Amino acid sequence: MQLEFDSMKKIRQRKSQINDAESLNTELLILPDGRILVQNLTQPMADLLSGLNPKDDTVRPRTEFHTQAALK
Amino acid sequence: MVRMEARSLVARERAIIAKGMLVSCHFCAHHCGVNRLKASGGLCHAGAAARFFSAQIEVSDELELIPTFAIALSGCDLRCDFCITGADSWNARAGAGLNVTEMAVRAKQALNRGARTVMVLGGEPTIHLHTALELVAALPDSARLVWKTNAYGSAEARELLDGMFDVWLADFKFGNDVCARRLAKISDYVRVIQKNLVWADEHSELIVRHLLMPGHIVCCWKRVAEWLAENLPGVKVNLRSGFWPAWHAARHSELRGTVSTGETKQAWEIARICSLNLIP
Repeated sequence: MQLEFDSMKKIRQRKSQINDAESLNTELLILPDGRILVQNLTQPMADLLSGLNPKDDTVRPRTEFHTQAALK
Repeated sequence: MVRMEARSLVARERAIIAKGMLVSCHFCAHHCGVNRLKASGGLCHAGAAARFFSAQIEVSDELELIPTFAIALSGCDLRCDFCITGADSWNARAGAGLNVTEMAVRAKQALNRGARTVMVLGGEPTIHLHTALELVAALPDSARLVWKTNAYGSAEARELLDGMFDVWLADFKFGNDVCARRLAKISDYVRVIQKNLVWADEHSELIVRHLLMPGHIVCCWKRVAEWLAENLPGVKVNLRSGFWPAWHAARHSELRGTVSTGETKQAWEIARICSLNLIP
């Protein structure tokens, strides 16, 4: 799993996310007030985030699928 | 949506038509008319060959669509300064060349492993309409397909897309043309989007997305919400509050932060007053 943080305003060419089954990409932005914004949420990252805050209603419904591909 | 013949067969025929249209591209409402077989001179800078920068199973979209195998095509016809995938979306040459056969195999594998949908997005997939149709032709007719679009396509593109995707997941980003021009360098935005949304609602399932932007609750969201309430009552709406000051957002003072708690509350109140059908 690769976490990639946005550089906010710096122009840079990111490594494109050409994924195979073993390489998944999610981007997170953690705010000072504790909120976490997520882009391209994958199942493993949803599981991780839900583990951090099991009561979060936005992430929990996204942990229930567990496709075979996501579990690889 | 009427499906008289197998979708894949129709898609194959339409992909050929779409390829022919590359000689004078009018896929989107910019109507550049450039010959994409010779150059990539349009506003999207896309040539004839589509590229992609991400393809994976994701669970961040609407609950009724996930898990989805999301295929993100490089390049876009808009220039939203706050684009979360700006580097790849503004660059039609980003990522890798798309081999339709190989991508279809990956999509089918994803479906077999539990993905509920296949989502074609960007950038903006409309600029790669010919390739998107080839992809549809290579996928099972039973697959539930999602067209994730900025809804700035042309009437010509709409005609080729009719019946090809089960769900249109369409953005309504700006509530007025001034904000659209300032933040995304786009003209005639509201008229084009409204026309396409009405069409999409008549021809497929439609989900409208709006990303709340700091400082744009009244000028953008309120106008979007009121128009949806009046013209597409009951349409599914996903109101997204996770604005992220990415890419060139800092060019605009109001976009240098996130949406405040107060703005989020105000936005939800507008949705309530308009009786919008909000979905998670």
